[in-house]
Amino acid sequence: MNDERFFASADGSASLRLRRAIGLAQPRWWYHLGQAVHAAPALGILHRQATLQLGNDLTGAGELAELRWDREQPAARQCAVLAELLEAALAAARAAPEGNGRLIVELPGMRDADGRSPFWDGLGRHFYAGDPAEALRQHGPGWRELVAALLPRHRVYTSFLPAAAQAAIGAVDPAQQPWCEVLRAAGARPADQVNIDDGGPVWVIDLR
Amino acid sequence: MDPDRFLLRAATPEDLPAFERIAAASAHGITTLPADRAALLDRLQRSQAAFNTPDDASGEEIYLFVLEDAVAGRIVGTSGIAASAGFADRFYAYRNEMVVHASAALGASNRIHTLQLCHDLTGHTLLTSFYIEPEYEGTAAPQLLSRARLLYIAQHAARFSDRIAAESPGLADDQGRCPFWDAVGRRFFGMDYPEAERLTGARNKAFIAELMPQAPIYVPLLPEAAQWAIGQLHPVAELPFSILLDEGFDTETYVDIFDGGPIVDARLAMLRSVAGSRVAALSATDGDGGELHLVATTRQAGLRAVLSPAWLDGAQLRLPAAARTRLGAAAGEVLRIAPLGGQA
Repeated sequence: MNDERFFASADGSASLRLRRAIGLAQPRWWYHLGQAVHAAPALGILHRQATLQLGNDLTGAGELAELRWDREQPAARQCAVLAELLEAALAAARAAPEGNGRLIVELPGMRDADGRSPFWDGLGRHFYAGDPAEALRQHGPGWRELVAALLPRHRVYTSFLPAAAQAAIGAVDPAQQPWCEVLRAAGARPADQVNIDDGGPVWVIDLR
Repeated sequence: MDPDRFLLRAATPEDLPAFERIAAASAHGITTLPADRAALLDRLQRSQAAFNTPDDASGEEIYLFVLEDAVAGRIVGTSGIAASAGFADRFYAYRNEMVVHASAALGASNRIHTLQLCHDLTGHTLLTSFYIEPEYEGTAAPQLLSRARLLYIAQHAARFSDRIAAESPGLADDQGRCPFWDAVGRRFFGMDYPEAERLTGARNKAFIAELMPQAPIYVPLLPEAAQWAIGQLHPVAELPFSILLDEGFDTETYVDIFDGGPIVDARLAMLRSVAGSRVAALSATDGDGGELHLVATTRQAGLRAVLSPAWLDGAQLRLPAAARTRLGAAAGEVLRIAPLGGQA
């Protein structure tokens, strides 16, 4: 069985790749969005803090990736094409589910008008001065491993990040709206992981 | 001012009024003296007990000293020693650490400054409670006040650690606002810095561990003002800090977990006053010359120390009569001296 299958809509306006068992040949990295609770009973203090922990949580899952679609079409048409594509990919995935029976989708995160990610500006930039998009162009799918080697290995308390970066954690680029609708309709839900570059969320579909 | 006029001696409970005056005069967070009469008296009594007990030390002891100006006829400064930092518990500090993240393919190799919560200084002997009235800052008196402690520690080494540390106040404004606290501690304590100081006093309370993260703090993620405050000294502490620097303390490794102020540390034997000190019996013959020295008694119960010209005549130490009188030392008594160097 191939590790990847390519799917295109009948009208050719959309396509994606279904990957099987990601992260086994080359590590994949995400931040796990968690919590730390510090309590001092003697002082009557209990603080909850959101945390980011770099890790490989979703290794072994399948993935829907490299989605492209024509955004010039009417919104309803975009959704129909994306739904057709997703249905075909899910049928193939269910026919030969991976070990953990999960399929993930990394959704692009928030960007400003200039295409800059406030999440990257607030966190990643302090650890890698380069541009993740440039790393992708130069190094292909392995870019994540290269960049992750530079990112913080210890738990980061999100309250240390600027407000704009905190707000971007798990936030989706609004241009992804049609794709989000289609995914939601298919039962996808946000996982506890976010992308290492722009803080966009990972959504997961249970195949079983 | 003539160095002859100063005497450093062990504090007693009778010195309470002077300690109250000094605790009130020293700015917030600058001294480890509590501004509370009962607490001060307790410290003085503990100190007196520590000087007077001939038993083996437990590590809980504190030793307080006062500096007298014979001309002014009053106490003009204080200093102290805590035998064992974080006694019976832990002593918290942030350790400066560098981690290197590298990716050959991306051609990137970054040194990232982190702060790691640690207990390294637990059990070290702490120099504490330094205060001198401002008009004496330009004299040799602060040298006597700070460094005589080291002679006492060296003389009674079994009662102390061979590692010495000292906290210095970090940057804070007159209202107690502190950029390092605002960026770090406040997130975990959820209160103002003076309030946290009041609650924790010494840095050994269990709730520090409960509230502070065990993972290192990535310094590049802190606001610039907080990054800049790491290891920065409050201006009021420049004089005592410079004396410690001259002694050879290391300033690079540790900072306070609350205000980011430097915590210096050193091996006792490497410190200048200790390495350069000599023990000799006091000669019956007066001297009237020689280099200016710190001269200290070697009795465990009650240190007395002065600044005086001194020289070694073979195994005998010669001092001017006035210095012998101030020390209360009789001929044949063993004294410890250290050259003052260029500090006077």
